[in-house]
Amino acid sequence: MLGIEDGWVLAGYLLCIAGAILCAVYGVVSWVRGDGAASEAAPPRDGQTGELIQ
Amino acid sequence: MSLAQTVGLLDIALIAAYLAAVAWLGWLGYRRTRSTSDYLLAGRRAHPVVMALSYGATFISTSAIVGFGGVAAMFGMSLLWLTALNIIVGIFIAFVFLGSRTCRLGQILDAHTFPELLGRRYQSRFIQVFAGAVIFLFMPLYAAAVMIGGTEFLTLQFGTDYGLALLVFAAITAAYVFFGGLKGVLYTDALQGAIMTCGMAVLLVATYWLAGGITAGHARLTALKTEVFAGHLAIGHRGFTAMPEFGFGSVRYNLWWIVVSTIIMGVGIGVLAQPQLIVRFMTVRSRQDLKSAVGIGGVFVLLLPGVAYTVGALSNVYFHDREEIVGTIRERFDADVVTRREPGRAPATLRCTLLRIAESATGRQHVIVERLPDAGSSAGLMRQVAEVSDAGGGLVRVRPRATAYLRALVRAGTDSGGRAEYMFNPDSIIPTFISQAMPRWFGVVFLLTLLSAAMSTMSSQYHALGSAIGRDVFEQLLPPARRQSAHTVAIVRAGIVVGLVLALLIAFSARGGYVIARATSIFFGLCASAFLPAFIAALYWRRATRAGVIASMIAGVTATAFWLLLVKADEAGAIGLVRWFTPAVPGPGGTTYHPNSILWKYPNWPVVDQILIALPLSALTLVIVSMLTSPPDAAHVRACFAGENEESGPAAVRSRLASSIQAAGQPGRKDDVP
Repeated sequence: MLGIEDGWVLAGYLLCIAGAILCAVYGVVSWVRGDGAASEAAPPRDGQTGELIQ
Repeated sequence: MSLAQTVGLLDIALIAAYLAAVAWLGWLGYRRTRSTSDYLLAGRRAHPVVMALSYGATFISTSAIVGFGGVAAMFGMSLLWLTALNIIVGIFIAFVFLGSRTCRLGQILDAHTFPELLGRRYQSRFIQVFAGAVIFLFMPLYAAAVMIGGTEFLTLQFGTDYGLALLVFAAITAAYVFFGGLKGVLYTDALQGAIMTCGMAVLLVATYWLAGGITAGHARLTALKTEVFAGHLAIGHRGFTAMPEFGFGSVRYNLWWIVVSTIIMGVGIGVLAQPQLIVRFMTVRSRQDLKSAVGIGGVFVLLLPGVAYTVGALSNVYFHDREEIVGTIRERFDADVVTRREPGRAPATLRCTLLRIAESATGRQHVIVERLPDAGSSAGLMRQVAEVSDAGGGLVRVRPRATAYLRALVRAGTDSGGRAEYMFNPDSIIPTFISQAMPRWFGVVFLLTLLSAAMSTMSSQYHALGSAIGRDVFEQLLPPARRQSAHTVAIVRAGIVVGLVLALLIAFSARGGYVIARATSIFFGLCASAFLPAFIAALYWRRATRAGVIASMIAGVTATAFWLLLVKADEAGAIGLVRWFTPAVPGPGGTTYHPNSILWKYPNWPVVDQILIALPLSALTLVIVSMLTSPPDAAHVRACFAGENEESGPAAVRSRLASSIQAAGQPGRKDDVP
């Protein structure tokens, strides 16, 4: 199949494509779903993080 | 000859425009960097698209494109398993299962670096300092690998001196991270990620077109198994579209263990514990942002290493079937070409007849193999490789008909007798393929792609390295009253300079023997063994104790060091200590030598990667020691995991954590140097 003789290499080739598609679909679904997440955001800084660079 | 004549005005203009854009983005980052949090974490407000591109651009470097691409050209498409692991483990699992919890824990603990995250999670200054020191000491090895990748291309494309190209490359990258902090790094990474994606997409289409299409190209590559280099056949190479021969206890299984344990597992799993990548999870506002970034990350990785490994393997079809050089033969000579260097022994060589050709169209000089010893002949017969025919007008047409490995012939210096020494250098395969198979304009595009890949990774490496020494080591070793973060940035910048010098020293002295892939693999494996069990336990296992984590990290580093110093032949040989522990054994020609592995009598063990030994040992140590020691402070653990089961945001949890610490009368962290 696809000119590749070894099943293991063919599986690796197809897994790359399938994995990227899985990531893309997951990312799009998460993007569409998630606006409420902004409320989870931390304030920009406090305590130790607030020192200005001099 | 002027610079413009050597390099070309178009090249100079494009590179200048690119560097101007990078400098502007670095300056923008500098302007917007107002606090330590900005410098170290981009203010925790990075956009998910910027974060995903930055993660991908940091993850994928010239090491992946040039180094591992060259390995794929040599060993074939089995390396695509590394891409599959990069996507599924390095992106999906890393973002969804580790990244989201890291993001929240980082906010709760107000951690700015990976060592600080571990140190605060386990309430241990020792853990933070130890992790920072490991990163600072070993990151230069990985930085050197990335530098070599970019430098090999500069050297081939423009005919510049290797040392000069190395210096220019390193100086440009260090300049903008020095000033910009992580904001500058994120901005430039995003631009560079976009350039890399475009460059590699064009390369993939062009390579498949040159190979005759997807199925036809793969089929032709399959047919080239009869051309595999004899030295590779002996260790289990079964063709460019097949996995190496699997087994244990014989030299003919060595390649399977090199490809699977070192290349695929060492890097594929090691990515989960990369400090410069983990810190990116803490730059976004929320876990939802991370999940949204998964899509871009996955496609990015497919388009970069996926393309590099596919193109690397298919370059064999181009070099063997299509490449032609028209010009004049300047020299035909016999030389001993180095096929393998083994420290402590004379290098393995192959007596070949070489041709030096001046290409008429470009003026470029090529040295190719015309004839080499016939592997099937015991009578020392030579096999014709290159075909030479008359092209008219006093010119000849030379068809190298070589595999990518044989075509990547470079001058490696001079031998002890003052004669030119040549070696097959897999790290030159991708640069040679680009300069020969692609039009000149694409060479410039690819140069920008490589510059982007190298600069994005190196800037993050220097950032992680500087943070490690500044915030995690130096600041933690000062008395509490003197820990002023205003000084941290100055120390971080000093750390960057020291790291740069160390990386340059390594890059100057190491070339050949697919050193890029090996150095990358060593660093990834070390990080996995030292940090991965502690990192996963920090996110998922409440029972993990400080003592367990310290023991695990020490066990991981010790086991890795032991394996690299005494067992894994290539690395142990390069360091040399192992030869004190191995006996003198007879070598060829009545000589004696000391083997480079204490397990030299047992085939395959000297090529098994340290990650297979050190990572399980480190994980086991963490579990056993944690179960044998008292449970960690319940209030602290509850606070660390609070966000996973309740609605309150990290700020509320952090406030509660601070209250509980004050109520207990403890400092922000227990001091627990064992």
